[in-house]
Amino acid sequence: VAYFDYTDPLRAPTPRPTPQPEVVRPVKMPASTPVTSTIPRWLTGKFATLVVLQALTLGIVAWDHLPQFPHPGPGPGPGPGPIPGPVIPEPLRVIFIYESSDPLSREQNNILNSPAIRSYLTSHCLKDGDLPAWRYWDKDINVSKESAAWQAAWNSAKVDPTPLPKIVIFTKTAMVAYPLPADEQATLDLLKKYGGQ
Amino acid sequence: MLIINDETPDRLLYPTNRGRGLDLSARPEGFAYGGTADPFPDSWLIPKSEWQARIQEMEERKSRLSDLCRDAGLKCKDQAQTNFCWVNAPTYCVEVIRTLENERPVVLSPASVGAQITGYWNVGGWGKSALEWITAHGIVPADKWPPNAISRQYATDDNIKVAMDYCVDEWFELEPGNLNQLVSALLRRLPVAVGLAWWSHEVSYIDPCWVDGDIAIRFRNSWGMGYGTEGYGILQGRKILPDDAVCPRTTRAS
Repeated sequence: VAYFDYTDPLRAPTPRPTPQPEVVRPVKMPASTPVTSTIPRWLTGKFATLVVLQALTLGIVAWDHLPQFPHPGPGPGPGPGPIPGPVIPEPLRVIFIYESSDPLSREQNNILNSPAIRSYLTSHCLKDGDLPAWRYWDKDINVSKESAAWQAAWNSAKVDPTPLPKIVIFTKTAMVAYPLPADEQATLDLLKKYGGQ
Repeated sequence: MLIINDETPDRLLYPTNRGRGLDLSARPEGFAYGGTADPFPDSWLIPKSEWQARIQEMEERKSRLSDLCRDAGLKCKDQAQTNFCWVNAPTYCVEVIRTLENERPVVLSPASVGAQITGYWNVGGWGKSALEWITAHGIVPADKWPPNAISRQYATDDNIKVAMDYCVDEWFELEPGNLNQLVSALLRRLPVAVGLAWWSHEVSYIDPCWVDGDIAIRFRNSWGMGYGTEGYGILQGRKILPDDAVCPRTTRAS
């Protein structure tokens, strides 16, 4: 098991009421390492994404050594699913990730070009300087010139196994990923679930 | 809206106070379709039978690239008396893609590309050459290299370095004269820099539209916001067909 830090410098640190035990350590691994799933976790006072590797690839952590957190449960796609408990609307950081060499369907194109969605994101996302914190990015985009916050978000979003095209939403304490919803309205509904009306 | 077709008078096509600059004496090296960029895939083609309905849907939803550019306040280029239309059009397409991706709005300098390609000569070229350069070297922001300054004084180490933040990572080359590819790219909201030999000029194709019962193209020129309607005009009929067409798909995040 490895974890990637996700710390958003734009957010004020919010300590979790009951800190969880720290029983895993960061592990460097090649980008090609197979990942079977990702789980949002709170570790060492920061939000992190646990990356579950194929057990035999590293073989360094037994399953019973994993911290026992309630699993968030299945979402609509193979991503980590919604965060547990009631969702309190808050400013978001959002990335739409797609493969620019694959043709999008008509509805997917409408979602990525929807003025309503762009307007919602602009008014409900964190401000990164004066720029709202949402992006439409190709899966192979080079983010080396982006801010540390975006690079951290991208590193977490990239290892999430949800199939493309997908929408990755960062709240104050969690990252959730979903396949791109069916249409514009479903996408807006999903965003409002985390970012409010 | 300014409509350009076979009846358009020359005074609207060849103003004396603006340059053009397609180099009709030479095509860019390796002008084989798909030679240096990804060729436009057949899987991206949208059947002609869907064109009118899709265009109508884009207009109703206001999800056209021209809507995006208006909402973002993205102004068109003004090449003034330079012969750099072939760089202005791809540069503008890069700015549109950056707007789509919601990258930081930065006005980019066409001269920073054209001048270095031509060895600081104010001469014509083709959009494909410009986009090849932009992919490898990027574009300098206009606040560091004035948009029409064909001068070595701006080719500083700092500017060469900062240009790399404004590279294109992936782009398509379209087959010359291929209307299906052209319209399919536009319906998928990819702006296309198009060289038109009949006009000796290169412009940015932005939206497909439906005029007089047939496909037409809303393009944005590089002759300033005073041209047509805020820089836009519409091309109809045979005048649409490209002699050179390239479209950036993704840019470097910055």
